Amino acid sequence: MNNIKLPFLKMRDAIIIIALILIGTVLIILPLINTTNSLCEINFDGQIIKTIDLSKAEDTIFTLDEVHDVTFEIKNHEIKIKSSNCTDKICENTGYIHSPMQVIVCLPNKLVIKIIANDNDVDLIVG
Amino acid sequence: MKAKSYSKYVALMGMLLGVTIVLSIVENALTPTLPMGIKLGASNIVIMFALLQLDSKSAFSLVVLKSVFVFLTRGLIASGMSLAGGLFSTLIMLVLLKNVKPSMLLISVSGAVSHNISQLLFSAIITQSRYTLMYFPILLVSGIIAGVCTGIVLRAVLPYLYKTNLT
Repeated sequence: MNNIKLPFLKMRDAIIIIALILIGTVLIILPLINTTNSLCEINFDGQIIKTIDLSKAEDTIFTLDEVHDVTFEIKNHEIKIKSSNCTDKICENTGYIHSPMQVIVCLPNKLVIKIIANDNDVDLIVG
Repeated sequence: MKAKSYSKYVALMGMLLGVTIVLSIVENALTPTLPMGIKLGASNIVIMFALLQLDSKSAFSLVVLKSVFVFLTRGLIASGMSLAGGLFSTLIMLVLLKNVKPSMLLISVSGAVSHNISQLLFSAIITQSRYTLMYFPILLVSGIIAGVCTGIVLRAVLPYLYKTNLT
């Protein structure tokens, strides 16, 4: 039977936590600055099933054969999952994405939508 | 397990599991409003309590039992996520407790963050895409915030639990 009593906060731990927050914030903000013209890749079960040039895409609503229960929407060169048959709706709530390093993942449908920079050669091989 | 009485221990564990389940239901009722799987991880409060006041075996069994419940209500993938996150975060918290004399907030923050990291790795395996890992920065920050919240709740609740003489 343990009966451990811990201090609520130590100076050392506060510094660790604040440092982690700073690192995370920088990692969130960095990709948002880079808004070059971008390609959108829709992956299903690890396979690329559709590639869209978002900078030229017109506003549409579409579905794909592989995952016909999911509706995609492109608006103002941004893409989002408009509706999905999954239960958690995490993918819908992610909203529009447009800049490289942003992704939408729908776990129940094994679906990943990601944005890749168009003008430099990011590798396209998906594991 | 050398409890004062075995039946008391069983009753306590049952109660803790009940609290875990209720917390996870309440949490899931709130989650759909948040994108990318950001969660409070309220049931981690109970796991931390078990780690601090009982022993690691109790904490791990709570994690496993909770994921069985998740399997019954939300299916295999959600259950796997719960198990992967729970086991890994409990392991990390245990290692920290044994080795670095952490404060309560460091335990809860590292628990929440490691929970997020292992769930992220698990979902990357399921989706077969390492691009899933791009959620990492957001889950790192949200995990820290969630960990601070659960740490504060645990701090607020512990004195009352000492008084009730549960363990």
